[in-house]
Amino acid sequence: MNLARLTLEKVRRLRDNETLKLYLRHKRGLAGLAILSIITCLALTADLIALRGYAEVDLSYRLMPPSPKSPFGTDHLGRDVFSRVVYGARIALWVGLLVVIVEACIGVPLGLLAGYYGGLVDKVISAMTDMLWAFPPIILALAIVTIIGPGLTNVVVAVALVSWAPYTRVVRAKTMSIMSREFIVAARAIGESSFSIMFRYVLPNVLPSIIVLATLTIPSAILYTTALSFLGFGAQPPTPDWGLMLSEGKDYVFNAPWCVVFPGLFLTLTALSFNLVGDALREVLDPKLRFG
Amino acid sequence: MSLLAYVFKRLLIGIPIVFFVTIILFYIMYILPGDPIKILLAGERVTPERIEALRREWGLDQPVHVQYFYWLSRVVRGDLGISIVARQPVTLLISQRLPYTLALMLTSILLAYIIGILTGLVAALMRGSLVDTALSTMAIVFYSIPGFWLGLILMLIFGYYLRLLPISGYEGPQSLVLPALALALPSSGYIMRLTRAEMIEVLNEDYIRTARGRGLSESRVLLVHALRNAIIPVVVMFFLDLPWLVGGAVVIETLFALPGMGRLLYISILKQDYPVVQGIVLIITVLVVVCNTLGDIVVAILDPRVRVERGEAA
Repeated sequence: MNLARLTLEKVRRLRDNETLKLYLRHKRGLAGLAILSIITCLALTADLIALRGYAEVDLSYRLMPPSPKSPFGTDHLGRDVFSRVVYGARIALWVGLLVVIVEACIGVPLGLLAGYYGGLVDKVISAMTDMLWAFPPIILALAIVTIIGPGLTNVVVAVALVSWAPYTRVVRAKTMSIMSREFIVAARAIGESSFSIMFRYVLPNVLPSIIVLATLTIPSAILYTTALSFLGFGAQPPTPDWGLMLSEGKDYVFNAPWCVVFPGLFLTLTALSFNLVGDALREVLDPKLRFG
Repeated sequence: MSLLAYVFKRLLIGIPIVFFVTIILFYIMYILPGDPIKILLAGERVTPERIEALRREWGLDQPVHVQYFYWLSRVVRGDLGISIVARQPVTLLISQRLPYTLALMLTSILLAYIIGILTGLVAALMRGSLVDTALSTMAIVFYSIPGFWLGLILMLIFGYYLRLLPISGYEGPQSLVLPALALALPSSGYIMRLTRAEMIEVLNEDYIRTARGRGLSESRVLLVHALRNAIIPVVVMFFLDLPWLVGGAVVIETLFALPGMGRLLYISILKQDYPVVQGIVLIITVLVVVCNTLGDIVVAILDPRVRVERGEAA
């Protein structure tokens, strides 16, 4: 028994190393990781590298082009665009992570239930998932925000509530294929409860797919929340949210293009880095995973 | 299962879904704050008796489920209620703006699929080459760009610096070019990746080798045998994409001040004009269900195996 466990541990370690090696050979994945590291560093050290506070108004220095004093220029209230972009990175990463966590908390248990019980439970959950899947998320999120009111937190909730379907679909399919495996039959035979089988036996085996999925859904989570902020339903001034910055900057786009170019550029780079990392992770961890 | 029977069955499944959504929609409108009568009569001096009479006339004194059936019977007859802000029938407001949204969606989806399928095919046929790497990277970059930012940048370049195209309002078909591009480019990235992946998978199949072995010309192998099968998932995506574009249209129409349905939805939400919001969401729901059904039917026509499998499973 002990020997078996030791061997298993060794096999697992070897496989993990193999995974790492595979990832390190993935050029686009490495590029994504590099961009993501830079943006994460900006977010973490925002207090140190920001030249001024993100809400510091200087009306005598409005709409100034990029210069050594303010590398990304200043906006219509004379706030430093670089500092706001850097603080915005915090919001974007935080929002992306939060949305994905809530999505997984809704989608994963539903997928486990559908895959584990099958039958009517599966039919009801699958019908719900399919319906949600087909609906344009922005419209649904807008509808929810209409009811619960605007604000960054509400937008995070709304986006998460409407986009958990991919998790349910993937976890359901994976659970179904795992259910026929021997270790599940064995777990049942020794009298493990359904709950324990779902969360202690099935879930760890589905985890790699969930990680891939989470990485790949962060970009859309960030893009949807910024789109809602852009429309004015999300973050409220003076929050340095990139979507809100674009919304405020769009009125000055022709005399001060830097107000929209830089926040949008960082938004794109953030989404791009997660897409690149997610793609690489998928190829390494779960090449057959498909969704959407 | 014959094709006709399959189509019929798919249509039947669509009806309860629309029904279900109308219940949710109605209930949401019901629990929203605000008395519809008071909102409608805002500013007018009326006696409480008159309000009571109106309430009875509109059926607002009935229980929720009865009200729902009143509402549904009106909706079925094409009456979506009256806009609180514009004081005009919702159906009229929507029908005035729908053509712009349809034109925008059609233009952008055509653009997206032409760009996506062509680049996807080229990348698949030149797999592993520098061209493939460049196109694949371009695809990921495209779908990482938020449409509204792309729209702003396009405005800046083509509307301001080059002064080639209009940037705000509707002045004719040329007004659709920039918004359509802003909507199309991000989704073309997805279509490119899907086309490429499907084509590569199909090219590895035995029947392609057989077709080549039989001495068929390369163009015949690629176009007739490979593309026909590779394109099926892309076609499915087309029908799933269509309603999703409405979501993008809300943002893009607002940015470019196009007088479409998406902008109407945005303004109605801002002004809390609930009947209009309800009407537009209902129309989008119908669009979603119709597109899904069409997608399934088209797949059944292109790929006869689907009919058998799904017919038995259901």
